[in-house]
Amino acid sequence: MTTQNAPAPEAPQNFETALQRLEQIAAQMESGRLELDAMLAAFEEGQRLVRYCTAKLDEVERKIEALVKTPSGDFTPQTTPYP
Amino acid sequence: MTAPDQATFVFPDPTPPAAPPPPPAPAAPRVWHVSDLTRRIKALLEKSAPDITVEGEISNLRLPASGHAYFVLKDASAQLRTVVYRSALAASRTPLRDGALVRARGRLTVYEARGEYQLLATRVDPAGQGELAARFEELKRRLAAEGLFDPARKRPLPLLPRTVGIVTSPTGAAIQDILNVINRRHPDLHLLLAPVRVQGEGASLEIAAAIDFLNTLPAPPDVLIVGRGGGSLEDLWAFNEEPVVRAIVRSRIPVISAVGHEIDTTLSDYAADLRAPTPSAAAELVVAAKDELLRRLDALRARLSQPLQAAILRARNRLDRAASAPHLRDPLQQLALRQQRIDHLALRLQTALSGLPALARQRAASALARQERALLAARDASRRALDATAAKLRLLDPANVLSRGYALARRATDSRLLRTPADAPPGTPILVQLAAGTLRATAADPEPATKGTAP
Repeated sequence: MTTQNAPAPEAPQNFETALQRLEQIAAQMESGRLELDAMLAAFEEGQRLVRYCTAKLDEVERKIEALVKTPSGDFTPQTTPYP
Repeated sequence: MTAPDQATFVFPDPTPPAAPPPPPAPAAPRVWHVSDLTRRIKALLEKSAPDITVEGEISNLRLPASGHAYFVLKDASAQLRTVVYRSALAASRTPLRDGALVRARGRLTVYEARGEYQLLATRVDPAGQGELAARFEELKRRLAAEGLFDPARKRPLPLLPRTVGIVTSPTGAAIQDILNVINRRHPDLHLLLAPVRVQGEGASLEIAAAIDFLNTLPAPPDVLIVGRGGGSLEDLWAFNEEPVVRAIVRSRIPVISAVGHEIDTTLSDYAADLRAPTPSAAAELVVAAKDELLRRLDALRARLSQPLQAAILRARNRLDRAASAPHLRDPLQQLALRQQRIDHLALRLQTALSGLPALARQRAASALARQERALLAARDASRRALDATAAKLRLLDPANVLSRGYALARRATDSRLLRTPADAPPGTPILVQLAAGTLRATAADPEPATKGTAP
């Protein structure tokens, strides 16, 4: 595309920055000041970020566990499913 | 009741009965029966302490099937056997347990069968509430002075909690309440319970150790819920103790406190990044965060595509307007108009020249010739550009495509262009548009490999 926006559309570092960038892109697009080409580029970047964020949200698996204690009462990093 | 010899048994009796005056010096010491003596003691004791309140710590608590409660009230140097009958126990607000500091109110009596005096309590209340409250205020002042409750210290909860660490009793009401919320809302969350005791000796150290431990996990939780279900001030006390408060402050993971009911406030609540009124509310907070994110993402998705669609629509309109401009719609007419203007100018110049002297006429003629050449060159350039444009436009004209032997097939009913055999199931009436006219036809079966056409 012709125009490249200030922050390069690299892979986001985490969910939070991805969401912030997404808000920024949406605001830019809504401002109506972007040329069509820039808008298309922003839209594509936004789509990538939406996909990334959705994947992050879906990534977590529902799981209920309890930490295991040693006989001496200390915690161990082992876990057991909680009933 | 017997009237024993008062002189040989020295026992302070605050209200001496109207007994016969002591007899004169007896010949031999009076001999008592054990039961007589015991009854005597019992009478004296009951009379001297018909309604007293005793404070002490419960120990050796026994709750047999009879429903009565037996325990020893003790302090650092003495013990008092105590009984609470079932009827009194039911009315009591305090659950009895070993180690609890209580105030027992009742009367002193003697259990004759064992020769033991005991307190027959009709009511047991938690003791030292005033003292606990004072300790609470003192610790609160001290920790607040250190800045541990500073609102500026409080961190926001993570935007996307995936793993939630829970520090509470594995068998308490709190974990059940949290699980109920999680099960009802079905979020994709990883709950990690650090089982601890939440009351009694050493509970505060266990809670603090669990908070510290969760912070050291290789994949630590994103947020911690630290708490327990409701109970007396004493039951909740561990959450007022310094080790717990300091562990919450030290935690790198944000902490939600969830102790007791809405009305209970502990020092843990002051230290935590967020106070939830109850454990259920803490779970709701965590779940709601995720719901809120899903809603935000949906909204963002719409905010991305709407402006783009609007922009595309605007661009299309501009394109349509530009394409319908006169010089694009009818290039040849534009050319003719310019030609006409050139001719007109030339005529006016020639008319003007005829009235000038010879030299001036000559100069004007050469100027005219130059102008004419420039105009013609401009005209030729315009014509070439227009020819090129016209050629491009001709390429796009469907009539040209048709003239090369292609045909357009449309559905007869709605004139929709056919692009796939599925657009015209067998039997559909269709129109086939050729360069020089249109055929009516009916769709037959599609050809297996390529397109289906009408016969």
